Amino acid sequence: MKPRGWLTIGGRKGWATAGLMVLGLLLLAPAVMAAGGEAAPADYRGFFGGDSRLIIWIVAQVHLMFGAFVLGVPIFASIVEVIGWRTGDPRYDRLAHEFTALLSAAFSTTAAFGGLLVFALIGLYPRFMAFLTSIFHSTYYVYSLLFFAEGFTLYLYYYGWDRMRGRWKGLHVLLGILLNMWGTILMLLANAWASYMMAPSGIDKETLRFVGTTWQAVANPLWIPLAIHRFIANIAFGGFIVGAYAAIKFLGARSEAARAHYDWMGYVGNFVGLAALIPLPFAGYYLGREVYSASPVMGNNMMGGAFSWGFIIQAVLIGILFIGGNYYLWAGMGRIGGAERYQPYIKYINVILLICFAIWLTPRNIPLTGEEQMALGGQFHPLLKYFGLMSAKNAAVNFIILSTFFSFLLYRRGNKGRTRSFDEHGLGAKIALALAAAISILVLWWYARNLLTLDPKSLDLSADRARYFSLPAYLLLGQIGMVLLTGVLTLRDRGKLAQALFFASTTVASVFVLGVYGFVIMEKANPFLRNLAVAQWLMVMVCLLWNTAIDVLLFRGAETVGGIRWGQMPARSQYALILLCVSIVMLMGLMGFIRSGLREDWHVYAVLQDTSEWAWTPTNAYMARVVGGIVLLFLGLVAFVFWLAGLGEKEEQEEVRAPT
Amino acid sequence: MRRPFLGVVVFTVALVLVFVWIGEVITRVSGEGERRSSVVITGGNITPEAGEAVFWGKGKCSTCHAVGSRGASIRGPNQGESGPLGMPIGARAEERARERARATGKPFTASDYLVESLVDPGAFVVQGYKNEMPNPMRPPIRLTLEEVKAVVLYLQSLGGNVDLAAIGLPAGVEAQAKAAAVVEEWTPYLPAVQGDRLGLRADPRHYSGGSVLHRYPQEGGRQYRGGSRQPGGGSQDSQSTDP
Ligand code: HEC
Repeated sequence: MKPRGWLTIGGRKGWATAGLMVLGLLLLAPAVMAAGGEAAPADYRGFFGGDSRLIIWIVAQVHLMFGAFVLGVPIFASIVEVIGWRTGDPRYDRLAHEFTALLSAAFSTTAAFGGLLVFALIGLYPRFMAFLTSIFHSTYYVYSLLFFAEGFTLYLYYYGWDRMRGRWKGLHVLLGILLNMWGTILMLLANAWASYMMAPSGIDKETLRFVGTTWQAVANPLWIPLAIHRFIANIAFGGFIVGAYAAIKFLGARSEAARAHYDWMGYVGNFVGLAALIPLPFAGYYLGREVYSASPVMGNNMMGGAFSWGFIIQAVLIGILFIGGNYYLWAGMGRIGGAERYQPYIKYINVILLICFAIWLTPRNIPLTGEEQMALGGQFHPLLKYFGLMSAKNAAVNFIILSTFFSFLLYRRGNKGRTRSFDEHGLGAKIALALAAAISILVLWWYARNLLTLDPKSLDLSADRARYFSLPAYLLLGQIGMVLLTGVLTLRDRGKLAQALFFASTTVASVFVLGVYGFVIMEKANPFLRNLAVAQWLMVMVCLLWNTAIDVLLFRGAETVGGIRWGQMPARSQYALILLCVSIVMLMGLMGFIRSGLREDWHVYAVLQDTSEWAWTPTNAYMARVVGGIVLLFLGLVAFVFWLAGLGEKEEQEEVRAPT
Repeated sequence: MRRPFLGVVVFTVALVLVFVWIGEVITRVSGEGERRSSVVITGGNITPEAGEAVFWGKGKCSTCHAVGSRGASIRGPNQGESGPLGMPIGARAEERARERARATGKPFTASDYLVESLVDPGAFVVQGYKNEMPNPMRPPIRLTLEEVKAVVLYLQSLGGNVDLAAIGLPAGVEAQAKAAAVVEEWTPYLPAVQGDRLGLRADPRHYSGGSVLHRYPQEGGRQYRGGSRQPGGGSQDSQSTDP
């Protein structure tokens, strides 16, 4: 693709930019006009006499989605570039480059929406903006400067791609990392404003006035939890968008080679998306937990009040993401010679996934009407209510993740035959295995020790409750034993058995034993529940790490029984990729609504009240309509931007080699 | 290229429509669309029934407390018979009051305990629970004095004696409630002007006339004298002054 400046007026892109600007001006006009006619500064203004909240909602959400895209995709591109650089496989480099091209097009749209958002906020919510500005004004300038840095680095990264091949590649990779650094700091700043609105810090408790420093306001209790959650979600978002892009290209491809390329691209996108999706529930759990700590009232609002239905929709969407991702992997096994051997397992994984989702979906605290309560015989279903509890849900999520990982391992070994003896891999492999074992053991040991020395007082529990801490600690220690045992088995060429054993012990310990034990804890030592969740999660994560390590070493240089026929994928698998992309965009819209809506009628929670006429909590019907509209708007814009970016591209499908 | 793209568009729109439909169904099933009548409590109708409405509504008590088999929240102790000590809160309060009297050396009635557990929830923390109950008189819940009294009446009605006259609010709470109502008004906070670390700005008190914001809380709402704004953001350089 020939580099062409996005802002050069005259090209088609130039026209598009001009169009966007005119659109922006048109949208801003009413705010400007309204200000002209006022005798005194207003607290709120209507939008053409319409619903200001709705305008902010739409603009902010679309801006955030584009923001997620321009933050997530560079992370994706950077990783892929490094892989291409280290393995010398040109496909990766080409993929990273292709996506950076899309990025530079999306960048200006993101900025345009950001500008629109700020102007709309100043115009429609002046009092609130004055408040926010009074606390955060110094961060605004840093933000703008970072924006320059981000933009320049991006253009350097993109336009320097071809020149910096070969000797300069390392520097180019560094540029990519720098780009991500700027992006992450940008996100951290904007996050500070949003999280401050949920959990303001530096406020005098009695007078409710801000008495702190800007830094105290930035470092509010939800700042980092929200940032971690967003950072991971952005990667997943980037991955699934890449997947959908590849799917559309695949469906429209005319040559075998192009189909092979886009099939492979879709696979990489899905892989990155799923990999990021795996830790996401835990980042969400951490965020939710911190919301509870910051304000139990807000926390209850979230899980037990007006927003609890939103979490059921969320569970459905996440369910679709995991099932869709798994489905795509299974469909992909069709293109791998030899994978038939593993097909029978898939129906069992399916059943497990479905059961887990049913549990995950079961609501706990749903505000029900009188009639419904009558029908259910109380507010809760007598049996199902246990499935609605956090403990059951945690177990279910862990099981889902383990199953997805299992699918992935099956996919990986699809075309692998007899493995080599471990001794043939040499000393390096042994060191790598020992290292992975050491990390696994360290993590398990660290938390087990933590639990054994935990002071019940720190959880507001009486001293005799300490005995409830020991079971998870012993299970963690047991897992250490399993790491050692399976390590020895791997060295003795029983690697597959080792993997199966470790899978089994993790599932039993973290899903079944601790899942059931969670109910006991709930009754006897409720506050300990979060530590229990961490123990479960660590076991699962160690299982992922340790099993991957064994897998990589085990199948190194293994006999292949069939090739991967890239491009031989049914069209429905590509629709699965589209489904994943649409679902994660909807998910983001939904969760954006919940995050913002949790504040109810407060701009800044419990400090600055929203006294405008739009300060009511929307119903789910209203929410779904608005979010649905936002999703279509965003996807439409993305398609448009991709189309624009593709205009300069020549038909270069011929040069695509079928990947091996 | 064209045909497959059309298929993708149709598929996407269909997915979004399903999403919208789910929202629609949820709203119908849960009845969230219907406006719940908010009870306005005045001096005249401080009753256990009004308190019940507060408990299950505005006060958000039910998001943490169940009452017997009604509700299922578990963050706070059940206020019915299945709660701590095997007694409903009205009766339990008597037990607690004796304990509090021993601990503080001051006389404590059951009503005193109930009031204390609302306006100073951290003073006594029920065993096995975290000290995380919010003071419902403060933001974000902000019950009025009448509403607090009503909700105490409701708690009394759960196994205790309903007696409005027995509810004495500690000194200071009343003043606190009044103060909370006033603080609602926010005034711009300008660290640079107040701190003026660099000494670059004129003393804000020297600003006069048009650009200074004035507030008259007693008249309700914000009002401003003079509407003129200086170029370069007059409202930034101005500071509110309380009359
Ligand atoms: C965010 C959760 C939460 C909310 C909301 C909440 N509470 Fe509580 N409440 C607790 C917890 C936790 C305890 C136990 C710890 C303690 O004593 O502070 C408690 C304790 C109590 C007690 C003492 C119970 C006993 O056995 O002695 C009373 C009475 C009470 N709450 C009443 C209320 C009322 C009335 C409301 C609504 C205005 C309310 N609570 C709102 C969490 C909450």
